[in-house]
Amino acid sequence: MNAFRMIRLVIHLLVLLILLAGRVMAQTAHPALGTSRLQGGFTPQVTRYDLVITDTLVNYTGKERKAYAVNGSIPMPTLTFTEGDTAMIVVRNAMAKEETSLHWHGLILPYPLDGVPYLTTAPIKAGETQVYKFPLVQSGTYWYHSHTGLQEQNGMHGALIIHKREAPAMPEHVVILSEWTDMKPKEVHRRLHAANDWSAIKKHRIRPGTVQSYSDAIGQRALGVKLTNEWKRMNAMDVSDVYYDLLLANGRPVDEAPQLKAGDRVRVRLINGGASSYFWITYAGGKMTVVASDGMDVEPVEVDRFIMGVAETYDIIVTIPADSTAYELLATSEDRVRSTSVWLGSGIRQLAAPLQPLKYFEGMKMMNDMMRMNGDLDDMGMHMSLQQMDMNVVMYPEITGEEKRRGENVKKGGKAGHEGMDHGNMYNSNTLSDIVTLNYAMLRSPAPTALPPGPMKELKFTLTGNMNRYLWAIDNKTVSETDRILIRKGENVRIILYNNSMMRHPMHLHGHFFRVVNGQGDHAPLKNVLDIMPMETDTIEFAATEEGDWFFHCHILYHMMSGMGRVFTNPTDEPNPVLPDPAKAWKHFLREDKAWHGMAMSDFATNGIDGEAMLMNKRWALQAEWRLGYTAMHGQEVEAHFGRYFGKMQWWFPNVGIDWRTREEHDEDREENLFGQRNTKNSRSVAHIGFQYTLPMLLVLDARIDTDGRLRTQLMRHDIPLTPRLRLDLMGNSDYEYMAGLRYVLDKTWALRTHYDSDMGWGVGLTLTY
Amino acid sequence: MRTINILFALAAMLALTSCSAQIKHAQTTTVRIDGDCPMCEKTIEKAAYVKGEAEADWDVDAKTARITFDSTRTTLDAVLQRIAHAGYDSERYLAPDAVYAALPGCCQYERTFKQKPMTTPGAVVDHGGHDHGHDAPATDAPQATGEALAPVFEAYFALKDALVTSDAKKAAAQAAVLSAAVKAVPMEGMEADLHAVWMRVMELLANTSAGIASKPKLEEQRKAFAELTEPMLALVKARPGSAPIYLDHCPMYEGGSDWLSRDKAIRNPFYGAQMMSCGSVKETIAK
Repeated sequence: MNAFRMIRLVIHLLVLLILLAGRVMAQTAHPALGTSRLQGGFTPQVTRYDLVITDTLVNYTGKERKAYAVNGSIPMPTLTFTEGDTAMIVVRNAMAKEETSLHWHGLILPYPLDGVPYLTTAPIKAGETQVYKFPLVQSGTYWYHSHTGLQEQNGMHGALIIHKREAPAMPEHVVILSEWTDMKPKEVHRRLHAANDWSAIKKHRIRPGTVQSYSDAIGQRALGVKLTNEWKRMNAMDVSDVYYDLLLANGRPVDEAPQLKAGDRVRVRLINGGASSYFWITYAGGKMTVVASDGMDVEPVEVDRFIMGVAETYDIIVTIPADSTAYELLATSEDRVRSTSVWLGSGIRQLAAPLQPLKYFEGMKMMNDMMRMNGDLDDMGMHMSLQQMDMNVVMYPEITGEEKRRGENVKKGGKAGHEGMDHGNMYNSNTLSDIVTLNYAMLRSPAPTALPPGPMKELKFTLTGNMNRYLWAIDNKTVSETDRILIRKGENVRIILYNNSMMRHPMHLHGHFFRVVNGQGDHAPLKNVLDIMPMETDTIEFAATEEGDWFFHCHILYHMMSGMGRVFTNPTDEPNPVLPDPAKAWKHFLREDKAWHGMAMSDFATNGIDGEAMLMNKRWALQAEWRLGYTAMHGQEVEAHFGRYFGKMQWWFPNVGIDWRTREEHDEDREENLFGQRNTKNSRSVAHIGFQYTLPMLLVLDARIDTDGRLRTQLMRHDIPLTPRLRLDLMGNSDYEYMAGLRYVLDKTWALRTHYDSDMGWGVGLTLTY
Repeated sequence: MRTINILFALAAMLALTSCSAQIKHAQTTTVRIDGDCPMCEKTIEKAAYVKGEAEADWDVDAKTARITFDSTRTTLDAVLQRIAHAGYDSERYLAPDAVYAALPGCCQYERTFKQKPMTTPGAVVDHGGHDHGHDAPATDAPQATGEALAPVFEAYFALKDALVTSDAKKAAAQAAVLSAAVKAVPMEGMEADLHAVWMRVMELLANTSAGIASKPKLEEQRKAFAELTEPMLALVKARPGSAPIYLDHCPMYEGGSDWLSRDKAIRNPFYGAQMMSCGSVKETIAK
C-alpha cells in the first residue's frame, strides 16, 4: 500500500474514532440535564423487563371490580435500573380488546418512545408487543403509567428507579401512592362533567361539612358566607374532585418495611401515582429530610411535612428512633377524607397525628374575598408563587386553630383595617406555626443548572377552568383548540404560568426537566412536575434540546382529558418512524378533549314523569326536558334545545330549540302571559331561539322567542343544597308556570322527590339519575 | 298511682340496661391500655364505641379494657387504633405524640408502652467510631459563671414564644417559671461586673414576670412583657453567648417596642399571627 493510501486510512480511522468518542460523550453529558454526570470506565449493560398487561378482577372493598394488572400485580412492578445502562422493556398487551400505552414519566429519551399514543408513539393494540430500548442518562425516582384514557386510575401505574452508579449503601424503600374507587372511571368522569356532587355526599359521611350545604352553613354560623359565595356564582368548594373508597401505598391499604431497625437511616422514595389526589406526608418518627424532587437531587432540607402533587416524586431520609417500634409514615389526601400509611420498622406501632378535617367555611370566606363578580381571581396584591403562601391555610386547624363552634361567628370581610399591612404572612404557614412545611423556594440544586446561552422564547400561560362545566384549559383554550407551539434546538423556553382558577394544578412537561425559578439563582432546582396554586405566578425554563413532540399538561387525569395542555414541537430531521400517518395520528390525539358526555335525570311521580337529559361537550350542549302527565288534562310537554357556551366562565348559553306541548282546554287558565300575549299552553308546536344566562345565586335565566312570536322568560335553579342530601328545585316563568320540588338523595342513582307543578299539581315520586 | 310508679321504674331500668345495640358474632378480649383518671375512661370508651360493632369497658385501677367487637365487621386492631388516636397507648398502638400532649394535664399518664429513642429524634447518627458515652449535651447558654443565668434565659424565650402563638395560658405558666428562675439564681461566686447588673435588674425581672403570671389576659401580658426587654438585654450584653441573640424592634406596638429572640426570623410576640412578621432586627449580640 502506498503512503497516500496509508494516510487516508489513518485519517478515516481518526475521524471514525472521533465520531464514536463524540457519541459516547454525548451519552454521558446530557445537555438536557445541564451537567456532565458520569465518568467513563464502565461497561453499559442492558437491563431487560418483560411486562404483560392483562385485565383482572380486584376486591378492595368487598365488591369485585375490573382493573388492569401487569405481570399479575397492581401497581405495576417496580423497574430498577442503574444510570448509564440501557433499558429494554418489552411490553405485551394481553387484553382482549383494549389498546394501551406506557409513558416513562420523567425520563429523557428519544421521542418515539415517550409513550403518548398518537402523539409520539403508536398505541399498543390488543395482542401487540412493543419494545422500548433506550439509554438511561439520569438517576433518581421516577414512575411509569398508561397514557391511554383513564387506565391510569385502575392500576396502570408503577415505580421506576434508576440508581446512581456509585450509590452510597443505605436502606431504601419505594412507595408508590395511589387511589381506588369502586365507581368505574368512565362514570367518575361523566359525573364530573354533569356537576353531580354525589362524591361530596359520600365524603360528607366521613367528614361532615364537605357538601357545604345551607344547613352546614347555619351550623357554622356562616350563612352570610354561603350566601355571598352563591351570589358570586360559585359552587361548593371542592378540594379534591373525586371520592375514593381507599388510598393505597404500594397497592395495599397499609404498607410495611419491617426489616428496618432502630437507628437506621432510610431513604424513602415516594411517588404520587394517583390520578387526582394530592397527599400530605407526615412522619411519626420526627423530621424528614428532603433530598430529591422529581428524580433530581436537592440540597437536603429538613421539614415536618410536605404536600405531593399528582405525579411528583420526593426522596426523603428519615430515621427509626427507637427499638421494637414501627413508625407511621402517613399520607393523607388533601381533602383529609382518607389516608394510607407505611410502617417503618417493626414492633409496637407509633401513630402520627392525623390531619384534622378542613374548615370549609373559612375556605369559602377566603374564596369570597378573592373572587370578583366576573369570575376573575384577585390576589389582593400578594403576588403569590412557589407554594410559599397557601390560601387553604385558613382551612387547616393545625395551623390556624380549631373549627369555630356555635356561638362564634366566622369572621366576615378580612380587609377592613388591614390597609397597608403586609398580607404576606396571613397565609404563610411557616410563619403562622412551628410546623415546617416544604415549599418550592426551599429547594436548591447542588449543581448549577443555568441554561446554555441562546435566544429565549417567552410564553405566558394562564390556567383557567371552572367546576360548573368542568372545563379546564390554558387561556380558555383546550389542546384541540390551539396550534402546536414551535420550539427549536439551540433555543431556551421560558413559561410564565398564572393560575386563574380555583384549584391547584400539577403541570407536567414530557421529555425535559425545567428549572423552577425560585430565587436560588444558578442553583434553581430541576423538576418535571410543577404544582401551581390558585393565583400563583411561577416561572419555569428549559433548553429545547430534545427533538420531537412533547406534551405539556395538567397531570390531574380528568383535567388532562378535558384538554388542559399544550403540545411543544421541536422539529425532527426525519418523520416519526412509529406513526406513519402523522395527520391522522394528530387528529386522533386531539379527539380526547372533544368527547361528548351525557347525563339524564327523571322523576317518576304520582302526577307525571318529569325529567331532563343533556348531551354536552366542552362548548356545545343538547338539552331536553319533558313533563309527561298521565291524563289528557295534565297533558304532555317536551322541549329540546341546542346551543353553545360563551365566556370565560361559560355563563352565556345562546341556543335554538323546539317546544311541543298538548293538553285539554283549561278554562280557568290565564288567557295571557306576562307580556300580554295569548297563552298557548294548551297546544304548542314551535321552534324558538333564545339564551340562558347564569345569574348571581346560580339562578339560570332562560329567555326565548318562538316562531309564534311569543316571548318567554324563566328563572330556575336546581339542586339547591338545603342539607347535604335534601335538595330544592325552583322554577317560575312568564307563562305563569311555576314549580317547587324537594329531593332527598338516597344514593348515586335514586332519590325521593315531592313537588308541586302549577300545571300538574302535587306529586310524590322516585328520581332516577344517570 | 303505685302501678304507674312501678311501670315508670321498669321502663327506666329497661332503658338503662338496653342502651347499646346488640353486637353479633361478638368476640371479647382484655387488653392493657394506659390511662390515669375517670376522664380517660370516658375518652377511651367513647373512642372505642361504634354502634352495633364495638365497645370497650375500661377499668381505671387495673388499666385494662374489656373490648367486645363484631368479628365479621371489624378487628381488635381497628378498635385499638381508634383508642390510640384518642390519646391512649396500648400494646399495639402508641398515641400520636401531639394528641397525647393535648390531653388535659390530669390525663397525661405515664407512657409505659413507649420505648425511649436511641438518639435525639431527627439528629444525624454519626457512626464514626467514637465513644459517645460521655458527651455533654450542647448548650448555647452563656459560658462559665453566666451558666447560672441559663434557666432565666430559657424561661424568657419560652414566654416570648408563648406570646408569639397567642397562648395566654402558656404565657402565664412560663412567666411563673421565669419568676421562680430569677429567684433561684445563686449570687455567690458571681463575677463582680455581672453581679452589679444582676442586682440592678433582679427585682424588676422577678416582679414583672410574677405580674405576667397573674394576668390571664393576653393584652396585659404583652404590655408587661415589653418591660422585660431592657433588663434582659442588660444581662445578654453582660454575658453574650456563642449563639447570637437578636434585639428586635416593632414600630407599631405602644409607639415602638423591643424584644429578644434566638431566631433571626421575625416572629412578633406583641401581635402574634395578626402581624407575625412586623418588626426588624435592631441589633445582634454575640461573642
